[in-house]
Amino acid sequence: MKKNLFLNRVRGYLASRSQVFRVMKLTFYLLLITIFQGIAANSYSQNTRLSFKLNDVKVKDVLNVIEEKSEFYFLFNSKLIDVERKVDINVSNQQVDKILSNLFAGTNVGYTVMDRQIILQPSIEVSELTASMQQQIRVAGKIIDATTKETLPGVNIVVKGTTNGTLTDMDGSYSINVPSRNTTLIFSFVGYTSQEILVGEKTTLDVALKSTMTELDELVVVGYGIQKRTSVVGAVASVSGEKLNTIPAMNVSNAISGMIPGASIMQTSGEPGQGTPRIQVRGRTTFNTDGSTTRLSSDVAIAPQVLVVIDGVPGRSMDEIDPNDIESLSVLKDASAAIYGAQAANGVILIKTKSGKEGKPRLNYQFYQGFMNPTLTPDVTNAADYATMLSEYQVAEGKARKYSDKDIELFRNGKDPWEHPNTNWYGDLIKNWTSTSRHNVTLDGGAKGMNYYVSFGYKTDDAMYKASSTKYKQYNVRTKLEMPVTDWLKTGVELAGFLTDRRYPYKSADAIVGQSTRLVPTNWSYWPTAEGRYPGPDIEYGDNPVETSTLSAGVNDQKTYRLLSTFTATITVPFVKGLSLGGSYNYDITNYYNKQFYQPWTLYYPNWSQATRNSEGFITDMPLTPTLRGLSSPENTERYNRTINQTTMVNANYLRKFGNHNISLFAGYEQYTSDYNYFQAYRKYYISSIIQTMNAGNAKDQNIEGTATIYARKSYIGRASYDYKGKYLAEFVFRADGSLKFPTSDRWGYFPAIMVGWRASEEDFWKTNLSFVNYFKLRGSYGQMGNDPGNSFQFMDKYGIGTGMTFGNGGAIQTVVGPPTVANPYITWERQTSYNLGFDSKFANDLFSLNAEFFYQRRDHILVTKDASVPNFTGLVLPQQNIGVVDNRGFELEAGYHKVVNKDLRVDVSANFSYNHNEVVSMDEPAKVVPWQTLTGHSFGAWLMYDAIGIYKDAAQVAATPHLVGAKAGDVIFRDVSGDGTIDSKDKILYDKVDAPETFYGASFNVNYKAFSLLVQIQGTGKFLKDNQYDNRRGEAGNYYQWQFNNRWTPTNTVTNIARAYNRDDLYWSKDVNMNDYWLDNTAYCRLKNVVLNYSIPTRYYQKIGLAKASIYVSGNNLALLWSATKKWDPETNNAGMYPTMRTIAIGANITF
Amino acid sequence: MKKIFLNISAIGLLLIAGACTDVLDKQAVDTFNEQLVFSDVNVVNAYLGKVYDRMGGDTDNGILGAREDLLSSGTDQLLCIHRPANYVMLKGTMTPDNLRFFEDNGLGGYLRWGNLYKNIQDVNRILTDIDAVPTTTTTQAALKKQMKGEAYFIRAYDYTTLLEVYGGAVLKDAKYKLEDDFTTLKRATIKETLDFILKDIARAIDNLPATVEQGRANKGACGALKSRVLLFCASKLTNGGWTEQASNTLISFPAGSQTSLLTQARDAAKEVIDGKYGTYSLVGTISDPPANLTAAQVQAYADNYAAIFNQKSDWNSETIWGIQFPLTGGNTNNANIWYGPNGYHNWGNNDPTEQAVRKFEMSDGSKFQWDKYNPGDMDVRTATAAELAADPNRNPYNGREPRFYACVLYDGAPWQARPSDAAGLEPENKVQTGYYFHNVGDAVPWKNGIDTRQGLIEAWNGQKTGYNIRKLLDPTTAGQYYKNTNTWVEFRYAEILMNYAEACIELGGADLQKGIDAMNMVRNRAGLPDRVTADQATARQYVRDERNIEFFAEGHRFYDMRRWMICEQVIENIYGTRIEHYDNGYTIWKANKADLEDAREFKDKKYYWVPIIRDEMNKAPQLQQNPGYN
Repeated sequence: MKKNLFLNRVRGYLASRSQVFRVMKLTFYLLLITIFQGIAANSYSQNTRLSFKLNDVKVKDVLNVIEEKSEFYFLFNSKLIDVERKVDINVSNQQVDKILSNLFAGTNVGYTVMDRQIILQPSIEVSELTASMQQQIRVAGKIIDATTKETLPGVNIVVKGTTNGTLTDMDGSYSINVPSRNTTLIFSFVGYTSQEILVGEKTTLDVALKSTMTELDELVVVGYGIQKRTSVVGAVASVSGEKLNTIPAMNVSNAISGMIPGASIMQTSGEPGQGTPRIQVRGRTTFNTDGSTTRLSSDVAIAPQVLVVIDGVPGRSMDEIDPNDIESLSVLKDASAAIYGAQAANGVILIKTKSGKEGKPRLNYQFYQGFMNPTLTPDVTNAADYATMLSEYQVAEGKARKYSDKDIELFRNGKDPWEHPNTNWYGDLIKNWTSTSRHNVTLDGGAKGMNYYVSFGYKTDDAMYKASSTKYKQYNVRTKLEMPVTDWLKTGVELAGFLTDRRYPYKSADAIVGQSTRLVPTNWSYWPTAEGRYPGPDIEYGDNPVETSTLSAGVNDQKTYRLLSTFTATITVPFVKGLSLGGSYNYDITNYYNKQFYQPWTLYYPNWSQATRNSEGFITDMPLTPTLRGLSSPENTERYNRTINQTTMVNANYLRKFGNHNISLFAGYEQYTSDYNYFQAYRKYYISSIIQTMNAGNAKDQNIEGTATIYARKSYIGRASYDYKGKYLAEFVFRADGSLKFPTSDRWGYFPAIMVGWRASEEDFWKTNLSFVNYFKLRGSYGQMGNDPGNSFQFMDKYGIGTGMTFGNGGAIQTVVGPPTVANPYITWERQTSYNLGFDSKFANDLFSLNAEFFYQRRDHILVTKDASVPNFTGLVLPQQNIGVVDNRGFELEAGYHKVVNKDLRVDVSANFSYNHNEVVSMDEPAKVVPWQTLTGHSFGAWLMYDAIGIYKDAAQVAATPHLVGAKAGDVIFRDVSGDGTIDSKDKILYDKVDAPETFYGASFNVNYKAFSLLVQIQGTGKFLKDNQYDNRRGEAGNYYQWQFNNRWTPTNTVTNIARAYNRDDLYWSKDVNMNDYWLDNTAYCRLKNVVLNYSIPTRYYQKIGLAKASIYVSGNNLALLWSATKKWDPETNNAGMYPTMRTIAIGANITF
Repeated sequence: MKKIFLNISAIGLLLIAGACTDVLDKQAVDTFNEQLVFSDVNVVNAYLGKVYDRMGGDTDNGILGAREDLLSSGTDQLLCIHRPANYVMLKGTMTPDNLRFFEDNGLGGYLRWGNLYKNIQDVNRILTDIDAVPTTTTTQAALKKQMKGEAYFIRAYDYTTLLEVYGGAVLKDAKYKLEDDFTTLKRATIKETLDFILKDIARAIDNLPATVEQGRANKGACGALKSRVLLFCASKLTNGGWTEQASNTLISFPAGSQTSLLTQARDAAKEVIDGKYGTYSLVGTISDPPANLTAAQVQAYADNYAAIFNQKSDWNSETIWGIQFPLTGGNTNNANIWYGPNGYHNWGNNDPTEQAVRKFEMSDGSKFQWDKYNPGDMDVRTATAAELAADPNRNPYNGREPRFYACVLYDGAPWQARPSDAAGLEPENKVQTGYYFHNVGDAVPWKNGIDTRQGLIEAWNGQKTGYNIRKLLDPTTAGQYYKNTNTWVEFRYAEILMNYAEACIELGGADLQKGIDAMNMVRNRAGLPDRVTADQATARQYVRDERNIEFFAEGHRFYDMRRWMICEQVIENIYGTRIEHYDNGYTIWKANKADLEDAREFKDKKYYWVPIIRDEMNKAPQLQQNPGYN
């Protein structure tokens, strides 16, 4: 019975031609069939006998019964074979050919039994044409795949203008009688381009069919609809879900990094549960999401939010979605996003999840078990090097040395681990490998339009800490039910639920991982005792990462409960052909619960005077004093958040073909509301950690907070598409959005777009003259989109609520309001105007492909404060006004090579490259003293700092060069940009490429060889300057990085590019004193992002145990940095203090029942 | 077919229903708007609360002088160890582009040009709109009147800060609107600014009731502010002291104004002394202290003085006005962790300088003399065990005046119980800023004091001068875990007495003795004997020295050294003081000239005033910059 599932699918494919994208699989099955034919004994049909009795059933039911009761399976074209005919049948212990001859007695149906497979086809002898056609001409031949040269069984051959036809047999052979030499035969097969051939004088007609299984037939999710790749006129990149589910990435967005031209996706942290990447589509054309232009010191500014639309619902999160549930993912990059109007300007990511497929229940199970370790961890100095460098600094500044030469020697030789330890903090913190795993079970099927899809997923990630304290667990379920009520009314329910469970220790990754690069190696992670592992003293705040990475200080428990529900109804209006109406209602509720119960933890302190010393004077043992550190008493914070998002949508669709004119119209109304509130309480002085409820804490110093926000939007949406013969394409999109954020007068924004396409390769002149370019489509688009950043209600003076002064003598805090933000009564959308020109092309019979996009975007009405003209003495806190303008231009290229070498080997290679450059055109910035400090003309976020041009080699060079007070040999040289002979603030210059890389690229190699398939993906970015230090407390208060030690300036190493030993903020070139580009590193990199090696286990191994399909795979994510401009830390994360990016290697399996 | 129509109509109805309940017509759920604020006197009061809060600038990390980096670190009293380069006027690096401390919201934010005007605009909103706020009860009406008084006080206070830091300010007594024309507005002269302040103070006094809730502006604060601003204006800096700028009306009063200003300053102080705005007095005794104070007596005087800065519940009689801080939430004060020794897991900031430490007198009122035992050596003091036994005062921290013990944590000073992890390292609960050697001549100490920069706990927070500050700390607060709740005393009666003393002494003649008497009250309270002189110059030096000690670390010194124009004399390099203990009891105290902790030089008179930040000059080019800056 299990086997029949699979065979029914085969038949289903032959009968219905909609599932084009599965054709590759089909071909694979057919190949299998051919193979099995040779293997299996030919006596099956003789030996198998069947018994059954059926009354008033359709022929197809009889065939089903035969399939169920035996290993036979049928191949036929339902257009040619009448399987709806009702019959009565009663067989007892009969061979199959008997049954069939009985069943088809008196019809035109002939059958061929070949081992277990039976092909049904209209027999020539009984063809309706036979009688009338006097000179029947018999034509025969073989059909093969044009590329693989494989024969194709089951190809349809139909006499044009009739329903008369046949199918090829298992050898790909056919024969057919045609009425005349003028007859045209149509050869068609799923997944292949149909051919029409005039019979002419030939009697043998061998045909090579070309596979159409290219991405052109791929269905692409676009705004409020689905289009065939050939019909898409916007700049839309897409990825099919199948590519994602074997990649052991933190989440979907990390898996697609590098796959989508124009979308830069950077994973800024590898901490479990914190992998939300920074996604930018075509770079940045706006300021911060909140409109602020201020840079947060060394943080890379927050990227503007990309709109994520999942199953048509805007604003859902893609962090938690199970990649197994994704059918396809698209990114709208140009004016095609305008259909999302006011939220579309930063790009739109569309995700369509899977639905149930008609057929018997299918159960699929997939899992992987992965092993992770950090890609690149920052190198810091060992104890001897640290002490050496610190001493150099202290000597140079005339300060007392903390460590003598003798100390340094002891640090180096390790003879005295008690008093001269050499601690590798990072090494003591992390384990060699940690693990990740994912499991997913899906069940789908359906009949008569009533389809279901149910999926359960579980994912878990462990942190790299030896303590295994941090843990991310995700449980997700997704169900989709399509329920036709009548012929014209279909309803559907979709429910998706997520429970994410994040567990962290008290200290954040910043204080654990980040501080591990700062903790001095001359302190003790663990005391060198023989009998146990006692954590040593903290550096401050109780920070000893080997202890604070455990749960001994308590647990930060974060749980998110998310329920997404969708109710839909579609009406196919019976009396207007092509018209359908739809309605949907979504109710998404997210509850977040966070409990942080913390308690003091134990560190061990020395008792030097009681130490036991050996003859050399080194300590061999010492009593240690356990001491509670970090907190004065146990404390508890609990927080509840609730977000309810509701989306209501009604729409009408009109789809009609008039001759060569295809028209598609869409109109809709959408309404969105979002309500958020939170409540948080805090108490301390818990008498014990046993009872952790809020009421067990002391009311003294308790703190309670909470607030709420609202947001709402209404939208009218329209789209009209037209094409002529699929050759000339045009699409007009319109959206009107009204937002709660804006005053009634400026509430509505209007966002139109027009897109046109021309499939030039369909033109005759092209086919004649440029046939080596077998596909060419030129596309152009223009459109406007919006962005509504910032807080709601900025159009009025907002007096926020807070806590402020303490009056009276009781210590109680007064609730205060204000100070107000000054209203901008005219506040409205940012507007983006986008132009895109692109083409898609294929060469040499699809062997090569080349797609390109060129774009120009202007963002205006950007919210910035009108800084230049309102003096500070007015005390006015300026509102944001829609006055900023930013230009962004660039291109994307995507090239491919697709070669089917033979039936066993197929190679696909593709590569993409993206470039964008943005420039501030105007932002009302205050006048600058020197022109080169004006942000206008620079990229967004350009960072003003001194230009470090080297290291002073000696005092003479200092004296000869303009320098700041106190400069010495070994210090960083600042360039005298103004040329006035002094170094002052005029010499600061703006650095671009500090917000995002301007270039990024990806490449993918896909090889299929027999049952093996190998996917290799590479991803990288161009120049991107990031802070190379993370925490400037180095020297007395923290360890140095190895790069600062190696080749540093010393009196004996004077010609170098690394500065002398320093301490924290003491020297003028310190990051916090005078930021300069000595502290920036280019983080361009190229990494082996994903590798998946998949092996489809031949059916013969598991056929008997009831499996339909099974494969195993080995895959990896972030496998290797092929090249990196900086080796100081993983270049994808923001800085060396971040939890590093993890390399994952996984093994997995995919089994279908 | 009918059924279909029904269904379609049903969807249509849904759509219409959706459109009727307009989701876009909603009020903000988390904020008030201006109209709502000024419709309810209690909400206006809450807004006024925010205005108090923002006297500290745009931060929740301290109000007025209660800061991580003290204003006194911009003087010869203290050294800010974490951000010394921020005190740009001591470095000769202050420019309109480089204001550092004066543009850092979290540190000197309460002195920042922009922040002060922001708060003034908030006050002006209240003053512009408060009259229209409806009241029903007499209590509400009284509250409204009081709030006006408080608002005038805050505006006067903010303008006083502007005057004392920048000179003449841009004056405005109503709220600005976005559509106003700002291009013609200019700085007023310093005289006009003073007049504006005095007028506000007068109106504040008129509107304020006799008693108010502790922490709110009161009449006494108004009187004290008047005394303070008048004394500043009556001093050398603004009265032709900077000869070349004597006619610059932004920073100088018209020639010949000084006597009148001094008289006004004297009278303003006298009004407070006379109890016109409430009854205030020095805490402790003001009778002549006994001769030869015992150690216990010194300690008692020290404790009495220290308690002024550790007030938590009801304020004492000396406190005229201050800022209270809550333990959790709101605007916070972390004095203990900010300034305390690193050996307590504190951050050791704002360390008393050797210069300032030497200013504290001996307990008998005589001058402290570093080279008393080795005349001429101003750097090194030594004492053997025997010498110390014979004369404990060979230890420079012995036998000093009571305020020394209330202000400075020195090597050996008793302090809080050590936290548990440090208790084993230093069990005596005494500050340990020295180094321990076995034998004279040893190159490397066998132990670095726990509160040094080579100590075992958070050494980078170790003091750099040999001292930590004691004043402003609360001995009962464990800084590493808890915030401070002790009041920042902004105006205290001692300041009024000292203002009075100075004005009188500067006026001279019949007033001279009155001034000396007032100063002696402050000295007697501190356990020191009277100063006696008939010479104005000597008296002037006495009163200046007394202010330096009495208001140590409170911030006054920043204004005092400027208005007296003594920066050139008092600003000098800061060196670390190193203390070495030997096993045999031999001790060395060394002002270590090899250990330059902060290079300081007052390079130009222009640094007497803070310039207006470049951005502001660019936005409002009609403003006149302070002299010496471009």
